[in-house]
Amino acid sequence: MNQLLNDAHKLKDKELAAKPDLVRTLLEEDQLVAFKKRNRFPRRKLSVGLKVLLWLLRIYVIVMLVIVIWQIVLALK
Amino acid sequence: MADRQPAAPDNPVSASSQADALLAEDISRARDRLAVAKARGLGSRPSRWRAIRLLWLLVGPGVLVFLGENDAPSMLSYSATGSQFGIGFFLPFIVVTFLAAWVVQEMTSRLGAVTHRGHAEMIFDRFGPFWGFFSMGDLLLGNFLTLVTEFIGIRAGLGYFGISPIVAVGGAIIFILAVTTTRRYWTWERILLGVALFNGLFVPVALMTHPHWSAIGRAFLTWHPLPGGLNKNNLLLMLADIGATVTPWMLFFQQGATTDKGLQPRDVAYGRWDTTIGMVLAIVFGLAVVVATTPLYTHGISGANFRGAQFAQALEPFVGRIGSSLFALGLVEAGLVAAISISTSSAYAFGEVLKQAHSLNRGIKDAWPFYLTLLGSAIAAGILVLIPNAPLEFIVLVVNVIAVLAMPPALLFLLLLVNDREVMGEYVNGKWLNTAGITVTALLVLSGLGYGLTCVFPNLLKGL
Repeated sequence: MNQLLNDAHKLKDKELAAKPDLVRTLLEEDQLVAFKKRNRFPRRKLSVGLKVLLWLLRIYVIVMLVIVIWQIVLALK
Repeated sequence: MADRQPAAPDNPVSASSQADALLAEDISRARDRLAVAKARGLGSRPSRWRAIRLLWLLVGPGVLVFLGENDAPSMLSYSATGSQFGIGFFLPFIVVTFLAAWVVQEMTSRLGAVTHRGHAEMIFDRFGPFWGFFSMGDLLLGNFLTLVTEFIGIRAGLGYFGISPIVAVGGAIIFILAVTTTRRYWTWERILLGVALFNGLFVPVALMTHPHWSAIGRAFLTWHPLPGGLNKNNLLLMLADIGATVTPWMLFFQQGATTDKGLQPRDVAYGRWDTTIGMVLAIVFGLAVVVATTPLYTHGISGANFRGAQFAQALEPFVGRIGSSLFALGLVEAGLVAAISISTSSAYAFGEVLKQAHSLNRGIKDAWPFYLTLLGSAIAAGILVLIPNAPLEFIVLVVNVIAVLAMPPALLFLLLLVNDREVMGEYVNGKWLNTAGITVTALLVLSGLGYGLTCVFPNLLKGL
């Protein structure tokens, strides 16, 4: 195994590309660009509680942003 | 995960996936994995040597994210802290903010190693575009403003040596272009790691001030003193220090870099070490800035309104020309590394959302939207810094606070993703990490709310 890896390590990129089986051994299937393009994670179902939490945090960000900008404009004036 | 079948119902896993064409990106990543596999196969060598070799190969995203976060506005924020408060409350406080950042970044690293997908892609896939675009909005606004402050830092640092703003900004953009177009993630990462180590320039400056080690020890034991007590200005500085350590771009960057590097679930422990090493280095270098600027506090020179190289100039009587030059060079480094990391995080996120090539293992021709985002955002931020009368002071003041405010929703998505067994399998969060993650989120919300309340009711903290 060590000898195999040693030999493979000396390969140039083009030579490595010519050994797709070795590349597929080194990478997990879902690391391959083509696989990732075809396979996406499915959408998860959001519960009502989670939606409420997401909205609360979104409102928090907007309100706080307004307060911060207002304060800094006051300070700069 | 290797045995996961993550296909949507209308997009089933093809039985012919073995026939997928391999791209240059796959080959480059396989080459990096080959080195890792070879290191793991060093059966005849002592296990300690094997572990060190593996750590060398797998370290990167964690160190870069933490040293990238020790950026120009962060170092200026720490300088303001040292010059206004000296050695006291803020030393242990900064360490705690870094520990909070470690909790967040460990989850991000694990998520990247297990899913092989970037953060934006995971949010869009699992929560849909409605919430995804909100996250992107927070990220891109925060990233662009932060990028502007990096160029302010670079301009100020080089300005100390008499270099004109246009040469400083132009030189920084050429450097970013040269580093990011190597077509190899590995080369990019190693160059950036080499440059990022210059974040340590602040350590000799701190030592030149002959710090009182007993005062430093006492500060860590007692969290005192905090001159002025708990008031609105101090709260704003605390928020800025938190914002200097826990920010949304770090999530998108580390997960994107972990994916681009090709980390796998079996590397999770090394990802954790990578994150820990980054955190320790960032703590040491960040605290060095506070210690280095403490002489300004003890000599009654307030740096509250100092900008950029003014700190280096003010330190000259205490650390000499060499010390202040190192301080200015440290600012340049902090700005450069962060400018590259932050623009890369924007480019990863854009590429993932637009479903375009998004890897540093690709060439410009092959992944031009990725490089256009990366270099375009850096160039736009650089140009803004050169425009006379641009609202730079406003941006510097607002940038860290925006980072803190945008963090809770980002953390919620992260916590949901790392607790999602369908995504993480056996690598889901444990009880301790969940407790720590929820605590960090709650503290960020509370500190933001505290700041908001003191703005609306200025006398709220008067009695404290």
